[in-house]
Amino acid sequence: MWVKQAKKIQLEWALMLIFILAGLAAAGSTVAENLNFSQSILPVRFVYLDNQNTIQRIWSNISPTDNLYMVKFINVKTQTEMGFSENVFNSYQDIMRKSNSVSGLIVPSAVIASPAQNNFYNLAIDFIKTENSFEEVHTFS
Amino acid sequence: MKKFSLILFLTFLSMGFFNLPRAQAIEYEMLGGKPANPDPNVKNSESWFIYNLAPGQAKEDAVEVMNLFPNSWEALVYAADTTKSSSGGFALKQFSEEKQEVGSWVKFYPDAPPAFFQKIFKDLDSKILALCGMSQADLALKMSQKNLAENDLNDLKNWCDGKDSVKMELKTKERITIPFIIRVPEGTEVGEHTGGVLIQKVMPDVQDSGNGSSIKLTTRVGVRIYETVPGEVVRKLVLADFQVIKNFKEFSLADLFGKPKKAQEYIIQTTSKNDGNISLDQQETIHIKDLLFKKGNADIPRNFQVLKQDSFISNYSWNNPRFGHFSFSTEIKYQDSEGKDVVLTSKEIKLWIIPWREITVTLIIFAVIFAVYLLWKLVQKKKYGGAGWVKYEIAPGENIDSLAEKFKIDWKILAKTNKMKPPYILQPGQAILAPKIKSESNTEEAPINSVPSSVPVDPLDKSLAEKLKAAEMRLAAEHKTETTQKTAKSGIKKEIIKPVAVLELEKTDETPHKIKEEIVKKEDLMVQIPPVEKTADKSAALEKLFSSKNEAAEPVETEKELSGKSANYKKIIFVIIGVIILAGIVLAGVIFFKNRKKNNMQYQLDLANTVSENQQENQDKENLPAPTEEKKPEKPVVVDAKPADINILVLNEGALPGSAGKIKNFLVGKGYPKTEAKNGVAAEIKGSFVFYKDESFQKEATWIAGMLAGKDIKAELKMAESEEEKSADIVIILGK
Repeated sequence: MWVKQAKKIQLEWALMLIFILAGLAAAGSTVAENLNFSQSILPVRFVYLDNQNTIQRIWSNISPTDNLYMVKFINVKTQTEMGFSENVFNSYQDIMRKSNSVSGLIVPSAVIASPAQNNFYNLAIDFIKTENSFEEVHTFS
Repeated sequence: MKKFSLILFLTFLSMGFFNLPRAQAIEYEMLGGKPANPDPNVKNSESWFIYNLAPGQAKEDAVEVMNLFPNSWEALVYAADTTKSSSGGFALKQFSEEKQEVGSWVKFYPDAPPAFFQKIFKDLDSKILALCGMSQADLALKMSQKNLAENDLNDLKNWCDGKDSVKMELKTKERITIPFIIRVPEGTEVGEHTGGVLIQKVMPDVQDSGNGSSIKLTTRVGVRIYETVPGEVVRKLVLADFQVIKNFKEFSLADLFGKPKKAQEYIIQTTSKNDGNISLDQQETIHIKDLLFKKGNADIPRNFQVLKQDSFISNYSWNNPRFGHFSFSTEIKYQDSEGKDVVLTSKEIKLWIIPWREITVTLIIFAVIFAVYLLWKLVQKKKYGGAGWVKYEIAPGENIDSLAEKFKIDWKILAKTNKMKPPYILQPGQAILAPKIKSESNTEEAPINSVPSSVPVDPLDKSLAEKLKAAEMRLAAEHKTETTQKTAKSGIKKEIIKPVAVLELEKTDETPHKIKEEIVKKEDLMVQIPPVEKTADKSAALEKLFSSKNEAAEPVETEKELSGKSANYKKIIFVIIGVIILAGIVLAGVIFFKNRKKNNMQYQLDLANTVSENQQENQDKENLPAPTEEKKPEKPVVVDAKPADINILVLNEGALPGSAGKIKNFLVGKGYPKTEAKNGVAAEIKGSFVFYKDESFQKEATWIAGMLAGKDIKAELKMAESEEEKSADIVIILGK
């Protein structure tokens, strides 16, 4: 009787241990995946739009040392990528021109609130249509 | 006279020191450029090309191009005209755009002159204008030749025409000086003409993936050119507009429950117009007065440049308090054509800031509580209002418990409806309200002792009631007599019999059925209540009366009823508590989102830096708290230093080469002009730090640490202790 009970308890403990180890292993793998994802991300700008194609926010991880980046238009509600639209792209250019930010989170409605630039140093963002694609020019003067 | 000279010398010396922080190259990431031959007598000539050339006049100068990072790249150097950036600042046109003004006046000479003329060029101290300005005869004379070959002359002519742009390979940390000549054409208008020399990193063109989503990224730095053609220089600035704009909506559900869309702030907007023919430096001071509490007064100094014949809009984002009465005004100071200071003052704008959102939320909470209260009152009224009840006269021997049992209702309802108070003593003959008793045939009947006031009493009924009353009184008298006799016989102490339930209610808060049980027990011990069947008068009415009393003795059912009723009360209490908690959560949520939004907005607007996707996801968690001032009454009030006055030293002690310079430029651009950068004493330290000299710099240091966090530099905020840490108001050490 006692032996049976002891065996039962041991089995429960063993199962618990397996679950804990399995949980730990799963947690570890999740962390590793996230880390890889963040390190491998390419220069990109995510342009989040609402259903009316109005730009809600722009998130960018590009740095001035990058030579090329991708711009992705995403529906903020469905989180799905949207097709290229000339109007949206023009709005995007307009916002970027007005913002003093190259990367980070850019909120269009807050762009107007950003203080005017210092008269000694100035970062200007402009877009040029080249033969094959678009070119974004950052000028620090 | 000597004293005056000394004062003048010291003044110039101090002015020179004041201007020192501005004297530097324009650097942006790996690019750099600056005037190669600055004139110490000309203000800002270390950073910009500043000329006063008359029409037809030319000047030889040079630009120093720098590759600051340890990799080589191809640079494109060219001149361009000025344009206005979308944010209203100074900007330079693109390489592909047509040059009409200063951009077309500049020609570069990156190569040495043709070999045939190199000796003479050297003899002329490498002066391009001198060589190119020589006539053919002078050249022949210098070269000791009668005639110069046509080819040589053509080569020289081609060389002297200069180049519009220069492409060159810049090696690791290489600095190259490129000479150029700026020639102001005849007929150029009097006044200022601006442009710039640009150094651009040459990037290979990219093939679009087809959906326009691949964008080539080009970085360039521009060294500005300010050329002022002498003549009647008009320096005139007009304060065109001044307004305070509310930049958010009070009632935006997205702001309350979604991600923050807009900073809750007011924009103080000043529009100035330069009607002159020269760009002007305007010194603006925004005055904010707290008219209500006198605590939020602020003077905000800002400096801007307004290009000639241009309008300039400066926005100041004011993180307003949630309540108050404020006045806003601005002053713009500039120097007129005679060098005198001119001050333009705006109209005063007064503004009440009322927290409509908070007021509305509070009102809604109060309305909900009031509605719950009304509902509760309604329930109470329905329960204890005595609707449909009739008057009932208390018979001798009746108490609250017996009446409750008689009318089959909770004794509390009876007591509350009649507004009785403990100890709930009822006097015989007292009139109370009581429910009508339903007969078996389901027709309503008035209580037996009832005396309806509005309904005419049937004489028969009245006599029956009188008979019943008399019978009951008689019963009570018999009961009392028997009790007294038995008590005397048993030797138990005599006492006046009072309703036991009343006595018990005075002591305890037990339910009537318990009290009833107690009564039974006590009756067993003390007195033997004569059973109803033994009494002489057994009228049907009395039987009914007492049978109802016996029937009511169902402890289990009564308990259920009571517990059900108390559960109702609990429900109401829970609803009220729930509403209050919900209101608290909503209020806390509003405050939380408001604070988070402020923090987010400030960092997002001030910084433009790479954030990894994971950091983006965790941004809310990682945001530093907004700098707050802790009020400690026992300490003297700390006056925070203004950004323009703070001396900041950026020391590189293990970070990438050029990091300190970049941070310096960044901070200067953010309104900290007194920032310097240099290599620190320690070769390599681990981690980065922001040290502040004393509490007056703590707020700005916290702010700077927050900005650095946005640049992926996690700097620890500390108070300065060592000499190195105290070498400036704020010392930033960039470690490995």
